Amino acid sequence: MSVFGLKVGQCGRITAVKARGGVAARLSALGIVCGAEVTALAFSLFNSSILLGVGYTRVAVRRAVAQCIEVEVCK
Amino acid sequence: MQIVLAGNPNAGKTTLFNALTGSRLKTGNFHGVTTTSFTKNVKGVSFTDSPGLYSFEAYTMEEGEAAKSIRSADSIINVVDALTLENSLRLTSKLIALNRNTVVYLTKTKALAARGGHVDAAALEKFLGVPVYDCPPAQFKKLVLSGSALHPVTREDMPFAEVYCGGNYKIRMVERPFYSKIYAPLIFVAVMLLTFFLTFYPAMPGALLKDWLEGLICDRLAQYLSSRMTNAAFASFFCEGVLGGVGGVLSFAPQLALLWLALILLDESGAMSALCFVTDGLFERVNLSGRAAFSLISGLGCTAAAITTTRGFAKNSSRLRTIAVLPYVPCGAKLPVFLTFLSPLFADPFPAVCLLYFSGIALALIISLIQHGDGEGLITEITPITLPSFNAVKNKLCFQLTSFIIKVTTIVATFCMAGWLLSHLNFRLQFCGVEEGILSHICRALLPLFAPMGVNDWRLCYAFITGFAAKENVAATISMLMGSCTLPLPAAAACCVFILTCPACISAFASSCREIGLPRTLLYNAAQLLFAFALAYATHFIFTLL
Repeated sequence: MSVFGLKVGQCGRITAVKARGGVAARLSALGIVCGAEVTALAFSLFNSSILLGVGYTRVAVRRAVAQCIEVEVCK
Repeated sequence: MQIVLAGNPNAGKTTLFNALTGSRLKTGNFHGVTTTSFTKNVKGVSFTDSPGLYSFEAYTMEEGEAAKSIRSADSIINVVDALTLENSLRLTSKLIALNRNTVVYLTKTKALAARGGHVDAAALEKFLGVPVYDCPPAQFKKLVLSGSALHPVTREDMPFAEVYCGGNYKIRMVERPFYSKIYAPLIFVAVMLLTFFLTFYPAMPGALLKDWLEGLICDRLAQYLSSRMTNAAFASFFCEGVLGGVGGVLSFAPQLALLWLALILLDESGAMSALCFVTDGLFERVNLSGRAAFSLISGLGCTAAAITTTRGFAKNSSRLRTIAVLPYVPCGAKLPVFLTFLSPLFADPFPAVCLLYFSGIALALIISLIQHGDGEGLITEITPITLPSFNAVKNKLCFQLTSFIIKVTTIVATFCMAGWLLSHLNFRLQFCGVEEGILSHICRALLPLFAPMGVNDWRLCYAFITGFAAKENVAATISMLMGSCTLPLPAAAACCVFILTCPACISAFASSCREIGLPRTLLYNAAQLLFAFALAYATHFIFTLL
């Protein structure tokens, strides 16, 4: 499922990042790469974007981009 | 030698640059404050502050500019945020590969220790193979200027865990409301309402200090100086013209200081960054992103500064739309003008001023929605919530107050002097009464433009014209030429709406020209002026009917 499907407080391990070009490079620069663990921290108004905890960094990502990031929920 | 400061956004590059060069460039606790490079020479060494970047792929305009500066550097100071060290080192490795003359300067190590983490600078030095410094800026400056900052370091393989421990980086309970989509907007509205309450409500500090300062400058000081001047014409010129105008605007300093303090606290605490994330949904509906929240809130301070923040947008269409609507966000300079029109009508102008501020922001959002354009994506780092540093807040507030006082005592004073001369000289350059002066004739010719707003005094017409140079001039001119301005409610409302919606000052015009070029800026300003007149006429008509 995509990272946007995580509930607040839920953790997931990234299995695929289906973005291209500048978006992919920016995600990679922020630590959002295959194998990384992310935690869903909060959702914005109207659920337009998600705040992810990636290592020591907090990254806000819009829904359309978040739906390109596939995760499997950590047990 | 050219040294460039490079690093991720919000690492502390500009803060270090200010310490190294004695500059006063704008800083903030937000990703994307610095949008252009700036160079200063110190003792033969050229330091360049650059916008933050994550990589050399130029995702935004500001990253492209940073990459260009870095590639032309002789040496690089990589400013690294210790709170997000692991992420920051992705750029560090690229910088070292680009230029071996790189040193790393660690920032926020105290904040890292506060959350239970630590970084071993000596071990990090061996891990990276370049010098690493964790010391006060003054000490680092001595090392850099003496040429001893760069020294060879032998790289050693070691586990990263021996170098760095990130501590407790999870969201704390006290931070949760700032990321909540219910509580965060309420916190922002509550902070702004509290600020307006302390600033405008009668018997509150803002209003009391304003009255005291106005009495001190415009009454007591003016009377004292007037009684000591032998030349009546010069006494009128200085006491009525300069002191009357300048003093009238300077007396708003306490109220402006409260407004700036609120904005600085929102920024330094990280609440602004959190608000950008939470309000992203609102901005998505007007085809922008939460990044626009930063620009719009910056516009509450100064429109010209807010325009430069739009460089952080990834898409040019979003930039253009944001620049087009920024003048509708009431800047600090418009506050004295609103109070000048509203105070004679309302014993308590607090609700009316609140209405104007929130209407301006709402108008900006509505106009953004109407404009055609693609949406803007959002991928941005969000700053943790922290207690603002007292020194940082104090320094910023003092700097803003000083800049305000300088602007008023130079630009506004010049306009007051010019206004007094033009109103007291006729076309034969002889002293005359105000009604026969050059200014009176020129402004009477333009009065028909303002008549549908309920304005039939040429002095008010002149005040609006001076506002295109600096909005503070409007209040200063009214204070100088009219003393006070008591208009009926329909006219006062129309004037406030005109000031709210008319093009911003010459500084914003210049800033806009730099960003989007002169032709487009002229087009935007012409459209805004027509819209401002139309809306002001409509406001006067509606209030007359009510």
